Formats: sequence, structure tokens, C-alpha cells
Amino acid sequence: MNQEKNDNEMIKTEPEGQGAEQIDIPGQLPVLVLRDIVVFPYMIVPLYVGRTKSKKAVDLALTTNRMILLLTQKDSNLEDPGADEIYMEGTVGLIVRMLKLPDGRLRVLVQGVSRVKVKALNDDGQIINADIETLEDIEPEKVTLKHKALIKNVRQQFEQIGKLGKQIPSEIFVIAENIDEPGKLADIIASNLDLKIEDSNSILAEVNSIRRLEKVFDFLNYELELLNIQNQINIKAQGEMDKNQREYFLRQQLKAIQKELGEDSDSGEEISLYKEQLSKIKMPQEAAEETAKNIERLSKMHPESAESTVLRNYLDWMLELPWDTASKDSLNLKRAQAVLNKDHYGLEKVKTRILEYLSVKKLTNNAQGPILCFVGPPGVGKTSLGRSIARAMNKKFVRISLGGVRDEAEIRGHRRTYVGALPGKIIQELKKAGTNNPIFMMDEVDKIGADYRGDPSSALLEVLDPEQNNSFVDHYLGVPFDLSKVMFITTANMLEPIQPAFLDRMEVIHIHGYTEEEKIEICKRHLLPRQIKANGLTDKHVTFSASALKSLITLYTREAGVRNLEREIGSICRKVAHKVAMGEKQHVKLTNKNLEKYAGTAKLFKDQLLEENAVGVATGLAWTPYGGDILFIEVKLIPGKGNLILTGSLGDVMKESATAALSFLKANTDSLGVSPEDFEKYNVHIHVPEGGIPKDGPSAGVTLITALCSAFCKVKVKRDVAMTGEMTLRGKVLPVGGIKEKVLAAKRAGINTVVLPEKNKKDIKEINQDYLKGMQFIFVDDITDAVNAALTEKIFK
Amino acid sequence: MAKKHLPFFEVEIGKNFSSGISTQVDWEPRTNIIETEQHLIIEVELPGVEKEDVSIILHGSRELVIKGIKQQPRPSDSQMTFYLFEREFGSFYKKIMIDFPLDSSHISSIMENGVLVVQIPKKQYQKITIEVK
Repeated sequence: MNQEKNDNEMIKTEPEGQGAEQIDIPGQLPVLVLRDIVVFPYMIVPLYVGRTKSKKAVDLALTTNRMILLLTQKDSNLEDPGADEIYMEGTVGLIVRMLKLPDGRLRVLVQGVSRVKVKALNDDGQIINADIETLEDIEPEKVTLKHKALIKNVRQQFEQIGKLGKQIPSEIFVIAENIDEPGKLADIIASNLDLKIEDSNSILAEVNSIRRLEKVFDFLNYELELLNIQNQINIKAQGEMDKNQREYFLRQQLKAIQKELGEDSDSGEEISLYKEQLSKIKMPQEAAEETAKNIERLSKMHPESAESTVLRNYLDWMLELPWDTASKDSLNLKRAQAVLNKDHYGLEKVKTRILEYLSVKKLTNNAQGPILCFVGPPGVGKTSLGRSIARAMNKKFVRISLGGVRDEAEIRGHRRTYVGALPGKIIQELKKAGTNNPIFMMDEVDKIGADYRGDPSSALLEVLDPEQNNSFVDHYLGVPFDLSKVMFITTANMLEPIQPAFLDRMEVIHIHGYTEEEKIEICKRHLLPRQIKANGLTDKHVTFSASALKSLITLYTREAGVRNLEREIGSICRKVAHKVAMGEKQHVKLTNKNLEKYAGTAKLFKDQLLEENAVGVATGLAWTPYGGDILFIEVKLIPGKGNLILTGSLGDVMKESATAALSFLKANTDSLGVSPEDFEKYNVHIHVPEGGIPKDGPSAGVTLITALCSAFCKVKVKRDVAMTGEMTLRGKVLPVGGIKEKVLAAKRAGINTVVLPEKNKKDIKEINQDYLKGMQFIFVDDITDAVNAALTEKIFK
Repeated sequence: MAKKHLPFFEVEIGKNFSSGISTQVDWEPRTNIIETEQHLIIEVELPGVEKEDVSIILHGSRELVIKGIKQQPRPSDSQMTFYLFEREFGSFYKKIMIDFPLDSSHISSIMENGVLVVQIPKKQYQKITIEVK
């Protein structure tokens, strides 16, 4: 112990300089063997001492100079390591504080003082003593720039470690910053890195200060790398957690904001509104349950989610359908009749049928009944008839057009799983009607399409069957809806394209075309007032003479209905309106004379009867969807070999009639006075003009025979006689259809005698007798009578 | 002396147990530094230290070092068990930097009841009025 004694003079003046004492290390010291720690010089470290040998060493040190040799055992598990299991490099420690703990262990605070090497260890069983020699640092002879750079680097790295979160007391950085000796710096830093025992020992054993610092630098780099990676992982993990937390936090804020804005209870209110609505409506059990279930589902859903929008849509549909809303029917038949008569002129048969239907309904009080199907050409008023029925019965009226509908889903709806799914048209229209017992009109049922998406008419079968439509299930609703109170009416132009099963469910009511006379009446009652009003005119501005109307009907339009007629009247009214507006005229009276000026030149030519009686030309009558027509059948005998030539777009049935007619002639050569050889000598050519228009049907049989007889007998046919009727090979005349249209066509053409099958007599009776003035009918049962009536000479005797 | 600002003493930081590192072995006695009208008084607690083992050294006029050694008593009975060991022994060292002029020729020190009191008179500046002729 080197101490400076100064007895004489306590106070003395010295030049400035280092005054701290250097401690003397004795050659022999008691040993404290450590586990898991290497104590470096300058390190102050608390140690717990439990082993007897170690405790003895501490006591010995305290009684002497408080110095103790701190050595580290290689394997921390050993209780009593031998000399070769202890590192031979160690640090002399100065015991600063010591406390004996109640359990007998010692807590010792030691301060590393000097680096030493053990020369020999003496273990006497009680205590370990070591012979040691001090290891002085080997300093470089000259401090180079490289050394300074190394020191600087080490300091930087060390600071970096601190910044990256390594737990190091902040004072250490200040100390490290102020220490320039590389060995000292290495020791201080090494004591703050959690190094493995062997690594620590390799630093402790290194006497060369620069090399020691280099080693520390390596470990620092390693530690830094480790921390960097650790931080990256932490940041990543934190990032994920932050994102979730952020979202949660924002949601909470949103809720708070909504609450503040009073929007918080929005969804709750919505739910209770739905529930209230549900409780008010009397739904069938199944539907009510389904609705309640879905309200429940909605309440558990996030209000912004796409799914909840779908649900809300569904609930709106369910709650707005007229489950129990019905309009009160008015079954006042007198009123119904008045309404029908007012809205429609003519159509007596149809109106009678409708009134019958309503009467039955009134008496039976039963909603179910046959489904009416109005079949007729366009423009005859099928749809407006439906409207009139609704008016007559005081029901709501809805209509859908099925023309071109190909998708089954249009009828039965889409399943809710599809995006933008909607119920089918039936349910949609019922919602629109707002009652569950409207008149439901389905237009154009003959024009329903069908493709891979399904067959809508098959879906309609269920709708239209009174037996099953009380539980019609729309795919969208998923629950049955009772359609039995709905009165369905369908319309079609033709029956042929309608599926048989579908047709079978309906009661067909034919609405034929209007006659000229009916059209004039309709004009006067409905079309003229409507068009005059639509064009801003009044009765004072324009009047139509009856002849002008007649000309319009016959020369400007050819149709069964009145749609084109109305259009023509409309165009005339527009021209009149122009004149009136220009101030040129105040009143226009339309007559045959000035019709051309307003309506343009006539578009059609009147069907004219032949100019004179001719051989081999007979006048037949035809039926078209647009009314009746007259047609001529021409027969010429051409020298040849007895072949039959048929031209004029004739159908199979008509061709067969021609063959049958010729055969009948051949069979009756005797009574006709025709030479059988004639059939060998001539080719028979039958032609029906207007060859562009296909013709078919058996009703030309009588006409064919007449023309053939005329040709073979060289007898003229009366030009003012027209005929229709099917014939058999035996010469009988069978009844045909479309008598009314045919007769009226004949009348239009100026023909006054019509030869008809005997069995069609009843059809004539159904025609308004007013139209038949001046007409003469010859009813025949046998073909010979027909031929005799048509030819100028009676050839059948 | 100026009352407006404190005199500047630089006291060297000694052992800092909490940092786990100390580059010096000596212990530091607890010290008070007091300024009076006339003197700078430095009181150092040195119980158990013989007067002879203390030395006060003034380097130049600004650096005052108080150092010495506290001998650990050696009882004759060598077989001892310690239960607590807190007292400082060994050499101690205290360096005080003084930032204002002192009259180093009149330093006095006294050791009483284990407390060393060093008294240094401040340098007195006389007011000199110089007349401009």
C-alpha cells in the first residue's frame, strides 16, 4: 500500500497532474469462483456468494486488504470445479460492500481492479488461493490514425446499440465517450455486452489493447445486427397490431360521432320499424316467420355491409306486398254492362261472355274461375277490354307484356343469392297494384319465347292454374303467395303458338275483326273524339262525313282492328290543326272530295269484282287475321297429257283440294257432258293470283270445282257470285270458318250473292242484319247445287 | 463576491455504483463547500482517519486535492466472519476545482471529531482610485 505520508506539512502545493493512487496487487489472493459471469476491470458488480470456499475467501479478503481474485468456471453446472475447469485469466476485485443474507449467502459488491493471470491454484479444501501475476496492457507504440478510427467506430456502434434499446445505464455512454485508452474502453464496453463466458474470457485474456478493442468491435457489430433484426421483427409485429388497433379505435370513434349526431340508433330504429310493420300486416304464417327471421338477421349485421342491403331490400318487398289488402269488388252487373257498352262498340259475344262470367262470380261468390284468353287480331281492343272489365268491377288493373320474354326468372324471380335479384313480374305488378285481387292482364302470351334460361310459359302454368296458384312461390320471396284472388286475363293474336298445356288452362274468347259498319260506329264514338281532342281541336273545327270515313276505312287501311284507322284520323286532324293554327280555316268538313288533300292518295284499291263473267275464273272467299278477302281461282286447259299444274303459293291442304276437285270432275264426266278424253288431251293449270301470299286451307274446295267445271264445260261463271266451303270427293259441301269476315269481304267487293255451306247458316244469323242488306245467300249441301248457282248455265242436270 | 451568480466549483465525480463502472479505486469522502464573507470553507468527513494520514494539496491556485488513507483496523483474532461490510477503507481522493481567487498563503486546516475543515481566505481586492491628471 503505497501512500504518501506527509506529517510535517498537511498542505502542500504541487504542480497540476494525476493524483489518484495506483493500487498494489499482492502476489497471492483468495479466489472467488464465479458462475456465468466474467468480471472485467472497472466493473462494479454485485455477486451472490453461496459456496463455502467462496465465503471463506470473502471473509479472508475483508480481514486483509479486501482484495479477492475473481475467476470464472467454464461449466456453470459444476459445484466444485477443479483447476482445469476454471479459466486462468481473471480480475482482482476490491470488495466495496458486503452483506450476509439470512439464508447464509453473501451479497458482495465488488469492483474490478486489475487484470491478472493465475500462475498456480492451491485448493486446501477450505479455501482456494492463487498465485498471480498482473497482466499489464500492451499498448501500441504509437497511436495511429487507424487506432483512432477504431476507437471512434467502437464508440459509435456502442451508442447505436443503446439507441436500439439495449439496456445500458446512460452514465456508461458518458464514461465511454471520455475514455481514450483502447484497453480500458474495450473492458468497459465488454462488461456491458451480454457475452458468452468463453467470448468474455477471450477478451479478458487479450493483453494487447488494440486487439482487445478489435474483438469487442466484432462483438459489437454482431450485437448490433442482432438488435436490428429484432427491431425489424418488433416493428413488423407492432405494425400488424397497430393496424387492428387503429381500425378498432376508428370504429369506436365513428360510433361516438354517430351517437353525437343522433345517428347511432339508426339501425335499431330501422329494425323496430320493420318489426312494427310486420306486426301490422296479416301475413301467412310461413311468410311472417321468414320475415321475422330476416329482421333478426339484419339486426345482427353491420348496417353498412352489402349483405344487409340485400336483406333490407328483401324485407321491403315482403312488407310491401299486398298480403291482405284487397279492393272491394263491385259486382253490380247493370253497371258492368253499362261500362262495357260505353267503352266498346260491338263485340257483343265477348261482352256477353264477360257478363256471364261476372254473374257466376256474383252468385257463387267464388274468386276462382276460368282464365279468360282474348284471341284476335291486333288493334281490336283486347287490352282495353281488360281495362274495362277492371273498371266495371272496380278492381285495380295491371298488365304485363310477355312478348319476347324468354327467361323463366321474369315470371318467377331470381334467387336472392344473385346480385341485384328481384322478384318476378307477377309479384312486382302485384306490389304495384297494391291489392291482391286485381285484374291481371298478360298480353301477347302467344309470343313468349323459350331458351336455355327456361321456359316462361311453363312457369306460367303454375300461375294460371286455379288449383295451384294459391301457393305460388316466387324464387326471390321464397315463401308462397296466394294468387287465387287475382283475375287473370291473357291476350294473344293467334292460338297456334301457344303451348297446349297452357292453352288448356284458359277459356278462349275470339275477338274477330270489326266490320266496316262497326268501324264507322267506333270512329264516331271513340276514335274521332279522342283524336280531335288529342290534337287540340273541337267538334267545331272538324267534321267527317260518313262517306269520308268509309273511304278511310276501305281505301286507306286494311286491318281487322282500328289502330291504323285511328292513326289516319290522327294525321288528318294534325293537318286540320295546322290550318286552324295558321288562321287559314276555322272549320274543315272532310268529305270524299277533299279527303285526298288531307289524307294523301288512297293506299289500297278496293277489291273489285270481275268486270265481266268469264270462263274458268271463280270468285272465292278467304279469311285472314285481318279480316276477310276475296280471291280468284283461275283454271286454264292447255294441250298436254293430262297433268295437273298448281301455282300461286298453295299449301298442301289446298293442293289436295285441287286434286280432289279434279278427281270429282273425272268421276262425273257423264253428268257434266264432258268427254273423258279431254282429261287426256289437256294439262290442267290452276293458278291463284297474288302469288306472293301463301294460301292454304280446305275452304276453297267449292270454288275450285266451280272454276274447273267452268273451264271444262266452257260455261261462264257469274262475276257477282262468291263462294266458300269445303267439298268431299262424294260431292258434299262441308262447313268452314270465318263466315262473317268472308261475307263482309264479299259485300265490300260489291258481290251480292254468296254461296255458303248449308251448315254455316247459323253463322249468318249471328251477323248484325244491318250489314247484310242487299246480300243474297245460297246455302248448299251438294256441290252440284253450288256449281249450278255459280255458273251462268246449269250444267248439272 | 457576486451574489448574482454562483461560484463555479468543479467537483470530480467519484464512484457511481449504479452505472456498474468505476475507473477509480479510491473512495471519496463526503464534503461541504461553504462560502462566507471572508473565506471559502471546505468540510470533509473523515472519521477513523488519522490526522497523519491526510494530505491537502493545492495544485497551482485552482485545484485543491484532499487525499489520504483510512487504515482498516486489524483485530488480533484472525478468525473473523463478516455480516455486513459498508465502511470505506483504503485510500481516498477528493479533487475540488475553485473558480475564484484565493489567498493560498493563508490556508488553515483543522481536524476535529473526524471532520477536516479547510479554511481559505478570499483574496481581497482593494479599491484603487486613480486620478487622471
